Amino acid sequence: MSLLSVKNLSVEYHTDAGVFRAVDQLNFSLEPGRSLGLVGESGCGKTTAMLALMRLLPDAGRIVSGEVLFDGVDLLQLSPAEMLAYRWGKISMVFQGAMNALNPVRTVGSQIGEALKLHKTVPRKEVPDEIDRLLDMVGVTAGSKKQYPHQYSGGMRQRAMIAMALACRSQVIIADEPTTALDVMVQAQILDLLQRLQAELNLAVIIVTHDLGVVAEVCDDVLVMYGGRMAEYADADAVFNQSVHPYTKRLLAAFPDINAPRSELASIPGHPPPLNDLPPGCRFEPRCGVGGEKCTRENPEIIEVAPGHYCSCLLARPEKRSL
Amino acid sequence: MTNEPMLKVENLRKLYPVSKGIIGTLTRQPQLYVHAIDGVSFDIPRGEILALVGESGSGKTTTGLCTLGLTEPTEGNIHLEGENLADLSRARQQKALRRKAQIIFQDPYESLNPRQTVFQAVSEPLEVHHLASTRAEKIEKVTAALEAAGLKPPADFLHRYPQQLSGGQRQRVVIASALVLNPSYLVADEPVSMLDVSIRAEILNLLLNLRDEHNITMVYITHDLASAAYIADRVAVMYLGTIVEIGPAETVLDDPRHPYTKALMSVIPVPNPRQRKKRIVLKGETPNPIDLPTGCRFHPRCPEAIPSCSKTEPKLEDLGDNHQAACLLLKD
Ligand SMILES: Nc1ncnc2c1ncn2[C@@H]1O[C@H](COP(=O)(O)OP(=O)(O)OP(=O)(O)O)[C@@H](O)[C@H]1O
Ligand SMILES: Nc1ncnc2c1ncn2[C@@H]1O[C@H](COP(=O)(O)OP(=O)(O)OP(=O)(O)O)[C@@H](O)[C@H]1O
Ligand code: SF4
Ligand SMILES: [Mg+2]
Ligand SMILES: [Mg+2]
Repeated sequence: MSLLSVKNLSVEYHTDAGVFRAVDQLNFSLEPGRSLGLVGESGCGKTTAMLALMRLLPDAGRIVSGEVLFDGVDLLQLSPAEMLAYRWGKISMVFQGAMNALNPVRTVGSQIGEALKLHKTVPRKEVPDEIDRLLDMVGVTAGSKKQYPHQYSGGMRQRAMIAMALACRSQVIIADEPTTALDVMVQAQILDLLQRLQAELNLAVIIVTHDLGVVAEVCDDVLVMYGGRMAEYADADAVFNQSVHPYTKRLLAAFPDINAPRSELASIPGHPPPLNDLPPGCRFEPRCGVGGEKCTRENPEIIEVAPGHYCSCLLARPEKRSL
Repeated sequence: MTNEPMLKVENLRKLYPVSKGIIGTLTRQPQLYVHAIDGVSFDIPRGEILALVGESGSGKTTTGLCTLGLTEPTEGNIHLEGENLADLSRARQQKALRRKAQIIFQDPYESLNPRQTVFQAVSEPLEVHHLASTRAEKIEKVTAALEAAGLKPPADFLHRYPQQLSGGQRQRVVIASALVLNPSYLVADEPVSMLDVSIRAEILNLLLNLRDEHNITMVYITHDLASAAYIADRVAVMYLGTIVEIGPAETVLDDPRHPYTKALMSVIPVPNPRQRKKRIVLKGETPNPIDLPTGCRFHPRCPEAIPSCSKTEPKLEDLGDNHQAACLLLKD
């Protein structure tokens, strides 16, 4: 049994313009000490999927089906009170950009202290020491604990958010675009930190990003999403070196590689389909280029092309792989 | 005349006074300055693309703005097609520049007015500069610019609003508005950083194409060395307002000599898990450019620093093949 496993998760948004499905039958699982990269273009449903599993969807969002099993317990069946022990207690999320959950009028240290008290992580009298220990662990100098979030740089805020997650002793940390707005060097610092924590504390980490490079650098497994659905899911080596889905292949061909600076980049013409007006067949078909007539009619099933390597493309066939 | 570089920047310096506030003024605190650019020199031959690469605040945009005459340098000379920008009278300078020098900014969502059609947006520069007398002439110029920016067929796009365009198409419209004046020099400031990966390549290829077909000289500003490597002929790496390394793109990437460039190279994410490498992760963040470190301004973060680095300021050393770097370890 996996630490976290998401099965057939589907989410819809109810808007004035109608109902549309932002996440469609998503499946993945996560083990302690491993990291999963969730990649895809803007609007493909990455954040929605993560908010759904935290049960933090905005009012317009509804989970229409699926299970989110944490240690075998389906979080979607829990009462709101029961859910509290899991949200932040077991699974924490570092939010994308502006949704930053730090309170602007409290010092960073006191916010971490509050989380420690709320989750009774350590006896009350040990709280001050624990704040120092956590900040040290994420690389924030002790002097900064009395400062307010606005006095922190973007990188320090990410570190503080990670310290909050550690304060709750979460076993799973979801980092939504943790490095997108940061400089490359600060990005490298944060990725190093996440990797170190993953190894030292045996954490399971989900990194949500549109940056394939980040995923290739730090993730063990990769799930590529397209238009709310899984396109391809496997360990990182298989996704990057034996990709099967045309979307994955084309994403890779569009990504500059400093080790091959002169190899021609090929963009993917067109843009992702509007979720309220999906093409009848495969949702990538209009941009695919290698699909056939069947692709315009049939929505591809997810098949296992090799052990642990999943793909939703009508052209995909099970493969024999030599190791 | 033909060998003359399109752009020649000599010892450029740009300081911004830091606001002292009332208390600072009353207590006669000394005036402090942000050293946005602190002695930068480079040439760009006609039809070449130079990438300015560096962390946030290293002075890339300020350098670009100075070369366009959009901000006035504190010191130094800028020659565009042989003419010194400082020698031209204000009015003539503007007139000369607007015909040949343009800038593309980062965010295609902010650069376009949602209430303007593509035609209105792209023809606006013509109107501002009275460069088209009849509507027919305007349509002809706008159509040509859209075509050059890869929006084909142009007629399909003329009457669309930004909301009816994809991110890549919006950035193409922004580029078309820069092209409509037929510039010979273009500054592209982070033109793809706000775009999805799937459309970045299309814009990078378009810029390359503009250079190849229209011989446009370009400064490409980015913090992404990988895209710089793809597009640029030469790369200049900036740190705290100075160029620490400059040279042909391949040379700088194959054989980075400055410790900062080496670190930067090592942290560029590579899209292949089989090529994971040891990252040289520098501690801390770039110091503020008000109170610069003594000696080499990189020394507080440099993994290779020796004692003299905190005392002596390194100068750019020639390393052959048009490659230069400013590090004391290269001097012997
Ligand atoms: N509160 C909401 N109400 C209605 N639609 C929404 C809401 N939040 C998101 N959506 C829509 O759901 C889809 C998925 O959005 P989501 O934020 O999950 O994408 P994402 O993959 O995280 O994108 P990004 O990379 O831009 O963060 C998008 O089409 C988005 O416009
Ligand atoms: N108008 C201004 N007034 C005062 N300081 C300024 C001004 N413009 C820029 N600066 C400062 O000058 C320095 C260089 O800024 P610049 O915008 O050129 O950097 P950059 O390399 O383009 O950074 P980024 O990658 O964030 O765009 C920064 O410290 C910045 O805060
Ligand atoms: S001069 Fe010294 S501090 Fe500066 S980059 Fe070279 S080794 Fe590092
Ligand atoms: Mg998101
Ligand atoms: Mg800038």
